[in-house]
Amino acid sequence: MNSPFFRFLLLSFYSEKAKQITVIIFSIIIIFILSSVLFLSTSMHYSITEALKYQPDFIVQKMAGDRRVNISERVTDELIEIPSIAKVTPRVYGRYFLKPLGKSFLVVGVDFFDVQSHRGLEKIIDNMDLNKFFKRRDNMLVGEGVDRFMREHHYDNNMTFFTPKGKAITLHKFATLPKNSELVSSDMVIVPIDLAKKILGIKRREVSDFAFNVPNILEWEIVTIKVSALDYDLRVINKKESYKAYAEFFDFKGGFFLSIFLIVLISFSLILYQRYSQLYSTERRNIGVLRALGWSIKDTLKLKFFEALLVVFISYTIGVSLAYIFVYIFHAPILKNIFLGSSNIMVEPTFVPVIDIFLLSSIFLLYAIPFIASVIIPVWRISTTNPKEAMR
Amino acid sequence: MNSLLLNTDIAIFLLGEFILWVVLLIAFGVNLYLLKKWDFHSYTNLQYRIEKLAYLIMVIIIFSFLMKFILLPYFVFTMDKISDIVPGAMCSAGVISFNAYGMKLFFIKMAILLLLMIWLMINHYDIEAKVYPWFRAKSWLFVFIFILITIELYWDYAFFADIDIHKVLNCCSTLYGLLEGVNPLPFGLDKREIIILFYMIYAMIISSTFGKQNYILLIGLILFIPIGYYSVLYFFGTYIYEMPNHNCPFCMLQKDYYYIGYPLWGSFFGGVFLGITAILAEERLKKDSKRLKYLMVLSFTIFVTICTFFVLHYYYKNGVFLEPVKVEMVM
Amino acid sequence: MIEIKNLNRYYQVGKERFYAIRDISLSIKKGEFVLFHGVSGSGKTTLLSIIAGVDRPSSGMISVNNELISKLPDQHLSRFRNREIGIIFQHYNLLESLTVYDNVSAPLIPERLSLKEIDKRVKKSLKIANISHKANSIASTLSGGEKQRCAIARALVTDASIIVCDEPTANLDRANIDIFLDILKKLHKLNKTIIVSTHDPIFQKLDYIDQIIHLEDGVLVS
Repeated sequence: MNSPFFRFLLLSFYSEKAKQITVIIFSIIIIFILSSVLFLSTSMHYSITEALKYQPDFIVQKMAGDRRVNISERVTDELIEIPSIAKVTPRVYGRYFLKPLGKSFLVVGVDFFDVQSHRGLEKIIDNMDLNKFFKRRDNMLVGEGVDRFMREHHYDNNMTFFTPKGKAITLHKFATLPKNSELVSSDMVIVPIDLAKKILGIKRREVSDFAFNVPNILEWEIVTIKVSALDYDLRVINKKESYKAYAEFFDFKGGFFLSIFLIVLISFSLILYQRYSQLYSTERRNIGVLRALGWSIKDTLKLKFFEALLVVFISYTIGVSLAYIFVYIFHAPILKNIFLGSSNIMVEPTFVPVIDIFLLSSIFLLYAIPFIASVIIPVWRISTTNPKEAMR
Repeated sequence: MNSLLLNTDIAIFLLGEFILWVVLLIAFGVNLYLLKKWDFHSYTNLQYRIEKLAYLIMVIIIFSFLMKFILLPYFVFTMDKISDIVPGAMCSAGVISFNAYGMKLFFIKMAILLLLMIWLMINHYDIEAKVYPWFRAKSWLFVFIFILITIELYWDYAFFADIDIHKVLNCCSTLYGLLEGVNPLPFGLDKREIIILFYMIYAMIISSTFGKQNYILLIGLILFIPIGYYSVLYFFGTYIYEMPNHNCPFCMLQKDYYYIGYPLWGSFFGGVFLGITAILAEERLKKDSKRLKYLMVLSFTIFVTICTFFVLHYYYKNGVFLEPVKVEMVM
Repeated sequence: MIEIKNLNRYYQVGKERFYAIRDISLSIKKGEFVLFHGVSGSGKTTLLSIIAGVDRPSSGMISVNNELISKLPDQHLSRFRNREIGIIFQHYNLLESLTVYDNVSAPLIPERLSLKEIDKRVKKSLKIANISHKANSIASTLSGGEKQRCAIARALVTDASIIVCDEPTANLDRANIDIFLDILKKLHKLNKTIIVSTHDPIFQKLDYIDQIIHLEDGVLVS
């Protein structure tokens, strides 16, 4: 690489800025939209993966029609008989509705002295001072969303719940759950298991469902079959399935955007082709002069090709940076609603900046290949201008 | 419609390959026209126009080469990523062997990159010469490359379209683990011998480069392809994973190993490609290709350094070398 | 040394051929000052272009400094133009938005020289062409005479042995013509081959002209 060449490239690029600026602005807009969508979907994908990491491998539920019903505690004994299952955790949880506000919390009952099936919970409880927690019998842990809700409605540190029978139970906020993956835990209220059963109206000998882990992935298939065979109304869900369901959902949304983007891209390519084919008499004359001065076709091609690359890099850098600011600093207003649908206000995605080389190269490839492909013929045409043009 | 084709990364990959193919198709058409009309000794305007058209082919091939150069690691990375949703697969090894297209596709991609590199080399000397002596040679080479690229495009599509995310498949542990027990190393070598050979061939390549002995260099390169590959698989790779029985060429491409597989395999194949191209230039075109050879030496040196580094690093940390554990039963 | 034998340049329009120059043979020795004289449309610019390697002949032979340039691939013809020929165009043909300095350095870019070497050569030719003081001015702001001197500096920068000028005095006033002729004289003394294509009678009065070639309708008239 000879630096005089790049010096000259920059000079001539700068002197043709009027021609370049429209192309650059167009490109920036396109890259901005494209990378915003990809940043958003990757970020949500990441939140879900992170959240699922802490979920138990298997969940066993009892079904009545299409609805989950509470399950008898005795099923534990049957599950434990299956060789791959070492430990089964009964879970108690349910939605608690605040009718006047149209909101709901996820109340989760936890046996604080047992091993947790939910690995995230285990981490939280490990770091907690249990002595202090059990000094009061009405302590609860709340998720970020609930905490915000309490502050907004001036509940201070106490909130009253009503059991299905109409009895009031006032709980005291002990701590707020760390905000690492809001998508799953923001509307959570964690209380001891008996308290949860009271709030949700679950019978003493029943639980919501069971969870257990099977470390060896190769055994998952057989475990699924064995558990399903225990009873006709059991439903077995494993983590990989829910992960796949989410992934497919995002691929679908992403694919949908991609097809729209494709249409934009085609029209953009046509505009570019036109723009680069336009006869700029001075540009043509300048290339003719350079050729007459002894620049070979190889040299002028190099100049013009790098000029196109420069446009690509400038607009790529600016477009991606703008999208980064838009998504991770301003949390993608409007676009977020289009992408998520406006119904899940309570489950806000966290905007953890997840940017890897792969994502960046995806954006680059999706933009650079069509861009260069559409300007390559005009670039060649102008670069092969006859030196004779300069003699006119 | 297979849902995998809607996967953003795969869609981008296929779209990119398709656009490149369309541009190359234009170049291919022009190329055929040139082959038919080319007559360097003619003074007609047609001939001058044709000489300019030859530059269009050149610029399109440079562009495609650059993009395919990025698309190959992107392809591997995509397979790595979808191994999350393909049951049983834990890295690209599982995905690539999902159907009959995977390995074929990988090899055709490598072949295309090598041939494009050779084309660029021939073209470089051709346009520097006074009478375009290799015009027909490079044009026919391009015809052949374009046929390969067309096949590649079809396989690209067929490969991803054929992956069924509901079918459970094997991963590298089973793929390569099956070979345990029988000696998997080529030519009946044992591990110590293959490592000695590895460094000897490297030394042979370096010395024959500076000693200008192309045939010895060629033999060195041909030997280095299997020896280099198997050394990494069965020796150096285990130090990268720090697991004596993990023999997978793909896992090291993952984030867990700091993507070390990309520079490692990149420098290995880059060196081989550069070497072959340089030898061709000197033996067939009778042109001095010192620069290509220096790049080859640089490339192989990076490769050998990375390999050696992991062994020394492990030894420095643990004070011992890795010993393979005999596994009685392999899943 | 320029050797031309039976040189033709024609344009094919339908079935008819229009000759710009027809059957020209001549030779120019190294260091000669040669004038191509004729009215516009006489073919002198075409002949000049072919000698400069800017245009290509339709048939015939032309060799410059022992290089047969009638049929060369672009890479070689361009290098030939770059190293052997310095062109001063009728309309100067500067890159209007760049500075004088950058204009003059343009022919050196494909040569893969260092910035330092380029700087040395550019300054030298700026000095010969008497335009050093305007080195950092943008070309479009220069007067006609300054533009031409910038063009001269650019033609000199590759140290070419042949300088070709196409109608160099057509857009100059009397004072600038004198300056230009002075510079040409200086170059002639430096033993450069100089070829001027013009219809300006002022050149014929110069005492250091070695050869005058008259062209009429593309044919030589002695």
